Amino acid sequence: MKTGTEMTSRINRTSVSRRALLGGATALLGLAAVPAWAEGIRNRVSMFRRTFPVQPDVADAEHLVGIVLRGREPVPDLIDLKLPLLAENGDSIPLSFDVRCSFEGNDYPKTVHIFVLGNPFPEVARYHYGPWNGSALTEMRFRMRQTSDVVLVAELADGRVATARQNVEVLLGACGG
Amino acid sequence: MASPERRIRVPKTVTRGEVFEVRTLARHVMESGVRFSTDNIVVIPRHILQEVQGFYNGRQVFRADWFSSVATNPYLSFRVKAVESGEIKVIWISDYNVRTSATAMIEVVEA
Repeated sequence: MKTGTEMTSRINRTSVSRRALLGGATALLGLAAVPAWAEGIRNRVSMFRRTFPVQPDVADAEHLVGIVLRGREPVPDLIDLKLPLLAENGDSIPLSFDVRCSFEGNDYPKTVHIFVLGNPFPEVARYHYGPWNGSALTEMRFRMRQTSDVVLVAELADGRVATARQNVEVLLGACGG
Repeated sequence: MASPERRIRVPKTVTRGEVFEVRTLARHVMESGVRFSTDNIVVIPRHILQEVQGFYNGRQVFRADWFSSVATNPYLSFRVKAVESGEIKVIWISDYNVRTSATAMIEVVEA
């Protein structure tokens, strides 16, 4: 019991960086050290059965959005985003979006990515559509840990991309997310 | 494997070519894999519904990949264009590859 409490006090979740913890975890598993460039990607990939903590990193999240955009110039004003400006509770924030497409031929969104930049795992959801949907209007609810930007990236079937971005102020952040 | 934990609602009748809404609600803890256990040492492992698939008469019309930030008891609604009468089926797949589903019938009438 004594050692247990000592461990609790020594492992402070804010002072120990996830880099150090990850290093410890990999050393325990007997794996080779993860190179620095791979570490960011590895941390942002949603893994289950994972026991080391991940802290939010907005710059890292912006990098993830950049990976999806792949340097393409987004088409303006294509996504209708309905999101509250202020959320009292970050546990359940309603989100509704629509992509202004005709759903004829190649004019439909293939994939819509939703990112919350201030979350430990910034990618919230990916939705895949086809011409048989007729509309991309989708509603969901998600968690937010802190005040940050919500970014939507729609990849259209003809190769274009569209983005929408809105800041949401969160008064009481979700402990998860 | 229908269960009261997974709900689906579609309009009873729609006209052909109309875009209708499929509303779904699943009851799930959606443990994000970020929270600490009570002893503050380890993270509670992630346990979420990681994929949702929508089928219209056996043909897949919708797919969602979900990650840690999706809220507890996730609500989801999406749109499908009415082609023929039949069955709408939604399947949720959890992190541990448990599949649960809900079905609803829809009747397509001529305009």
